[in-house]
Amino acid sequence: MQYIYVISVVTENTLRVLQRIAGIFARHRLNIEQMNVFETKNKGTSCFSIVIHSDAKTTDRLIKQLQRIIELLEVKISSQIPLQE
Amino acid sequence: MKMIGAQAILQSLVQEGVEVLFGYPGGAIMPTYDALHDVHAELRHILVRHEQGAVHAAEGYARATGKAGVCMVTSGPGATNLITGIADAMLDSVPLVCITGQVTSTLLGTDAFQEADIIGMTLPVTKWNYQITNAEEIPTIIAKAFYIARSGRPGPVLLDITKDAQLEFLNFVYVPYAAKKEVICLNQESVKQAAQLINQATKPYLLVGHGVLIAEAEKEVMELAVRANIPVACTLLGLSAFPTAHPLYVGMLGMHGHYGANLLINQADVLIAVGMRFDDRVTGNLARYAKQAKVIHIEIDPAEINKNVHADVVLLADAKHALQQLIDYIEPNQHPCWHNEFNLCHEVEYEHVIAKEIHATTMHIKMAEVIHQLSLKTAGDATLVTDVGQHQMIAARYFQFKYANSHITSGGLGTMGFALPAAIGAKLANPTHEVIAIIGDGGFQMNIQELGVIAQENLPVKIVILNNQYLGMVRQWQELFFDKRYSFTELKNPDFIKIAQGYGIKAKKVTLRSDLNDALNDMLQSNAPYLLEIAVEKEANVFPMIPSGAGVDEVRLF
Repeated sequence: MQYIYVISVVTENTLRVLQRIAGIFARHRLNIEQMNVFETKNKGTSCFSIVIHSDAKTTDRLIKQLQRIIELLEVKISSQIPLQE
Repeated sequence: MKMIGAQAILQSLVQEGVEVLFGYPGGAIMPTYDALHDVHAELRHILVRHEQGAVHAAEGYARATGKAGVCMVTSGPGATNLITGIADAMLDSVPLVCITGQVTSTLLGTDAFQEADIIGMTLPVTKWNYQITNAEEIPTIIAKAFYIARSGRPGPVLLDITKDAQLEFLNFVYVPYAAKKEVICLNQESVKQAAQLINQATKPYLLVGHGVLIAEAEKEVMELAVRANIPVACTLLGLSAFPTAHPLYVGMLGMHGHYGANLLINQADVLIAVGMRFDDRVTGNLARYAKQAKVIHIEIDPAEINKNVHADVVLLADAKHALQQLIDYIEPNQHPCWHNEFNLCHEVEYEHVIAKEIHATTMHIKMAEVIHQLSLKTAGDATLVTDVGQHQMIAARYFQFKYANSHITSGGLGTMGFALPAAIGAKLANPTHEVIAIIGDGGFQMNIQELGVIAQENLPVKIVILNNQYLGMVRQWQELFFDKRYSFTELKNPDFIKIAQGYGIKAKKVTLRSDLNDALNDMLQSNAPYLLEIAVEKEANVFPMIPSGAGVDEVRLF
C-alpha cells in the first residue's frame, strides 16, 4: 500500500548533512517530491520537511537508517496519507 | 602547546592510544609525514605498497584487537583507493579512522591537482566524515572521530584534512570526546519476556554473530548456553566467539555452513539471535526462514531490528549487558532430544561431506585437508585471516577455533585481496601470536604488492596459497547453474615462489599429499615470513550449499 509521507527531520546545521540524508533516500529509490530546509530559531539547528511516496516497510527502514546519522537530533513521520492513484 | 596542524594530528592519535598506523605519503599529506619524525618513539608507521593495503591492514589490526585501526594517505587517488576498504569496514562494523590529505582549502572545488571529493564519495560508506580546514579543529574532531568509530555499532570514519590546515599553527590542548546522547537503557519487561521464552522452549537455538565479539560477550554467551543447554551456531563473522570443539557447538550458519546448523533453524521453537543481523547469506529465502519460531533479537543497532526477520522480543543493547541481565532469569534445562537431532545431522554431514574432505584419498590435495592439518598442528592457537572464495568457506568450516578474534575475514562486502594486508595488520596487533593467511590464487594477486611490507618490516606472517588455478567460487556457480560454461574463471598464474623469493621471502610449493605434513611443519616452525603454495584439486565444489533463493531447509549436501 502506497502512502504520501511527510517526514520531519531535525539536525545540526553542518555541511554535508543534507547530502547524507538525500543519499539515504536515494539508496531506497525514493524520489524526494518536496523538500523544505531552514535553520530554526535555535542557531545551529536545522529543520527538514520531506515529502515522499512510499510503503510502510520501506519508510520504516528509511527512518531507522536516518537515525544512524551522527548530526541527526530527531526524525519522525509527521503525516501518512494513503496515496490515491 | 603551540604547534602546527600536522603535529597536532599525530599528537591527537597518540592521546587516543594509537600505537600503529598504516599509510602511504603524497603531496597533500606531506606536512604530516614530516611530523612523523618527532613521534617515532610513540607511533609506529607502516609503509604499505597500495593505499588499499593500508586500509585493509588497519582493518586487520582493528578486527584483531577491537581498537580503531588507523590509516593515513594523500589526496586524490590516495584517498579514492581507500573506498573499497572503507565499504568493507562499514558492512562488517569495523572501527577505523582514515585520514586523507586534501588540497589547500582555497583550491577546493577547482579540480586542482590530486583533488577528489572524498567526503562526498564516502558519505554512504562511513559512519561519519568531516573535512578539516582549520588547524584549531584538529584535536576536537579527531577525538570525536575515535569516539564515533568505536561506539555503538563500530564503523569507519574519514577525516579529510587540507594542506593549509596541516601547516597552520594552533594551541594544542587535547580533550577526549564527551558523548551527548544518553546511554541505551534495557527494558526490563523485555528481558523477562525473553527469559520466559527461553525457559519454556523445548528447542531453543542460540545464533551468535559478530556483535558478541565486538561486545566481548563470549563468557556471557557460554554461561547462557551451558546453563540452559542450548545448541550454539555462529555466523561467518561470529566464528571464534564460541569454541568450535565445545559439545554445545553445532556449526556455522549460512550458504556454506553446516548441515544441521542450517536445517534445524526451521525446527527450533525459540531463536536467540545475539549480535547478528540475519544477513541474506544466513537466512536464504526469507519466506522459508524460521516461520515457526519465536525470535529474540539481541542487537545494538535499531536499524537491524525487524529489517529482515520479525523479532518477537527485542533487547536493544550491547550483547554483554543484555546477556548479563538475561542470565539472572534463566533456569537450568536439558534438551536431549533436540541435541540428538543436531548429532544425527552431523553424522549425515560427516558421512557425505566432511570425511571425504578432511581425510581425502583423491589424487590431488583437497583444501579441507590443509585446513584440518593446520588446525591440529596449531591446536587452534593461531589467528586465521582468510580471503574470499571457496578457500574462505572451507577454512571457516574446518578450522577448530578456540580463542576469540582468531578468525578474520571479509564477510559483508566479500572483498578479494583482503587477506594479505589484513594479515599484516593482525600480525602487528599481536606480534608474538601466529598469524596465518589462507588465500586463493585469485585473491592473492589482488594485493600481491603488500609482500613488500612483510619483507620491509620482516613480519613473520605465514601465507598459505590454496592454488586451484581458478576463481573457484565463481567457477562452482558456473558449473552448477550455468551448465559448466566457464566464463573467464580460469587463471594462468605466475610462479608465486619466484615472486616471493624476489621479495626475499622464503617460499615453497607442495603438490603431493606425502609432502604436505613436512611442509606445514616447516612453515609453522619458521620464525621468518613464509609463503607456502599448495596445489589443490582444480575443480572441487564446496558443500553443503544453500543455493540462491532456496530456504535453509533446502540445504544441499551434494
